Amino acid sequence: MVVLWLTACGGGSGSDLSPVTPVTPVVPVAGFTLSSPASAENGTLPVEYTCDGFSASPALSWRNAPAGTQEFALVMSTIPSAGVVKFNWVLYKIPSSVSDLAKDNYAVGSPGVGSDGPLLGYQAPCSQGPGAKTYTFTLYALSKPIGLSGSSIGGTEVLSAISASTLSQASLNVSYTRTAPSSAAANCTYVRNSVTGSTTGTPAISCDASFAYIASSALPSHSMMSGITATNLQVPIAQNFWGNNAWRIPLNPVVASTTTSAVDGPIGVAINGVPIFNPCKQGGCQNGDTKVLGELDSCNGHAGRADDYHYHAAPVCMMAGKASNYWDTHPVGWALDGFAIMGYNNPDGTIATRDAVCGGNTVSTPNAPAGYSYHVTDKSPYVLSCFMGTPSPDLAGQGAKYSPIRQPPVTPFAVSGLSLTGTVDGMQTLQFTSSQSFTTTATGSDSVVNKAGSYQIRYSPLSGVDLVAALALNANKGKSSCWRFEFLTTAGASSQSAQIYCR
Amino acid sequence: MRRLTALVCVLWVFAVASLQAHELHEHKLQLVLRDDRHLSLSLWLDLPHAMRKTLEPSSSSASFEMKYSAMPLSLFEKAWGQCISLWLEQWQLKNSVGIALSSPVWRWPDGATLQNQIKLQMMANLTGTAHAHTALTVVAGEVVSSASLRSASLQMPPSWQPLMVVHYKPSQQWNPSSEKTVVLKF
Repeated sequence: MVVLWLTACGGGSGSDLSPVTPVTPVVPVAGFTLSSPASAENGTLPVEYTCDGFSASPALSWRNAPAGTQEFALVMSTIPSAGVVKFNWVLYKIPSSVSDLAKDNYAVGSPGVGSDGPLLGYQAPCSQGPGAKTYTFTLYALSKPIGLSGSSIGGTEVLSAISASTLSQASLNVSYTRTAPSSAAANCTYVRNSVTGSTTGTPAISCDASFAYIASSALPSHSMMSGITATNLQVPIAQNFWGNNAWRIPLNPVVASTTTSAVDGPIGVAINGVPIFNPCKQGGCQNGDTKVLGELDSCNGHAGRADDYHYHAAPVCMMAGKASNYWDTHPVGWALDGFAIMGYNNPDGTIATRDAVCGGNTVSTPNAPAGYSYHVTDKSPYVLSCFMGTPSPDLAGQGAKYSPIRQPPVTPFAVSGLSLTGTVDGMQTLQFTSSQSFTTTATGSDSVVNKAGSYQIRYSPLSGVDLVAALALNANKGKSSCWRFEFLTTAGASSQSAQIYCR
Repeated sequence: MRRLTALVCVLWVFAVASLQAHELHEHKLQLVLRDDRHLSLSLWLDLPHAMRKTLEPSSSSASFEMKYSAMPLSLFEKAWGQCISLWLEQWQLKNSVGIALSSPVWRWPDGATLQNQIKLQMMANLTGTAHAHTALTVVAGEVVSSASLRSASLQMPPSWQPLMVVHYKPSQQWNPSSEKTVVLKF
């Protein structure tokens, strides 16, 4: 039976694979139909709605619900073997005023837990067996609200609860056939399975052909900010690593011809969805090691200036949720180049050797891609010192990962009116011409008026004795280049002194 | 072509200003209740950013910083004073029954300091290839009220948003001598 169940399973725990629960037959209502722009009846479900794609839930719409409908419930199911039903999607408490669901719906209804648990919401088709599988979306029109509440309502509970209140139902059948798993698919499975080892938060995982997407709010359930001996006034808050901002882990990692340095910032993601950073303080390793400086809590993490909680070393509190040897064979996290971050030991329990290149080894590791694995250690750099593979775009774009919590600029960057002229009198000039006055009159009682006009910054590099003299000043110790700056208003007039700036 | 490249660099460093750091600076207000009627405030603010959003919200950061670094100090000080006035009017601290409480006494940086901060920012941007950080300025303030501050509501200038507000009442004990043991309970 277990084998049969797995043939249509996404690799999850199989918590709600149930014998088919009979539902009280209902009288079909003519014209009550369920449809989707993703697929026609008996059509093929596009890959983006499966675990081979983005695992997006398809858009659905329905028409001609029976009179007296108070609420809808939706179930997506498949029959992996005779007499057994598997739930891919359970959504209930859908208001009667709703007649469609958007693609990747998160806004409408209460999500239940599917058979692949423990995550609530859509669990994309991810059959591990050969051949086409049929998936059935069934929408139930209910004569009264469902009256269920809780955090882990499954398909069996929903069907049982609505058996007496179903006025009518409409269904849509689609099919999907998985091709033989590629290395990307196998590695996606590694990432999916790895998060089940976390007892301190479970991120959502989806994959396409190139990346596994690890989505989370990056707030672990273990204690945070306790044990910090340095000053840290931050308060961990939820981050938006969801949707397009999920962490991208390459699914086809290979050892690159050259390594990539691990800049200050994220280098990977722990299996509980919390980013892992390199050891260094913001601004670079010349500013010190966060752990040595006492800036990390007892879990080796802390909240940064964006109040974003992250680890800078082995996530020991997360790892404490499992026996220590669990991490010999199961990833602690995923580096941004797609290779696994393993525990302290090799799979055979011996302390992992860490090469002098990036801090890992090539020992074959179960539950992780072949080729290379990083290992955590209690000595700096704790996780990795560089990337052996080609990093995810998230390494270069790490700052943008946090930007969604910022408000966008009021207006797009205005290029008009700003110009950089060529060298005149040995100086370059950045000029801004303001075409209109502005007046601040928020109170009506006071205002500042800036007249229309031009503003200039003129600057030129210092050389020769001027440069030597500037660099000789204590304030410029360690710097190598200097410029002379002038700040002027219209027609070259200035009430400000020229200023020397070195870096 | 070199000029165009240079201008593009200038524009780029402004455009990515908020995207560089892994631990981004965010505005934060920390309120500590020292005693029933005394509140100590610490405000972490990107002052040029908040000043632009207050005085010239439709300007770009680049044009605002360009203009305010180049203008004479006397004009800058006038604008800065206006900005502070608006913030004080927009700050509303009320007790639990809606009565306005005393305004804080803030220790704002003077105009010359702030203008120099903007100039340093401009100079770093013009001579570098990556955007230099705008350091948050920490501004201290004190509220001493004739009424209890234990329960209050607060409205702040819109230009400070988004803002993390942290407030707490610390446990304090007077330790008069080295013999006395201080018992700590958290």
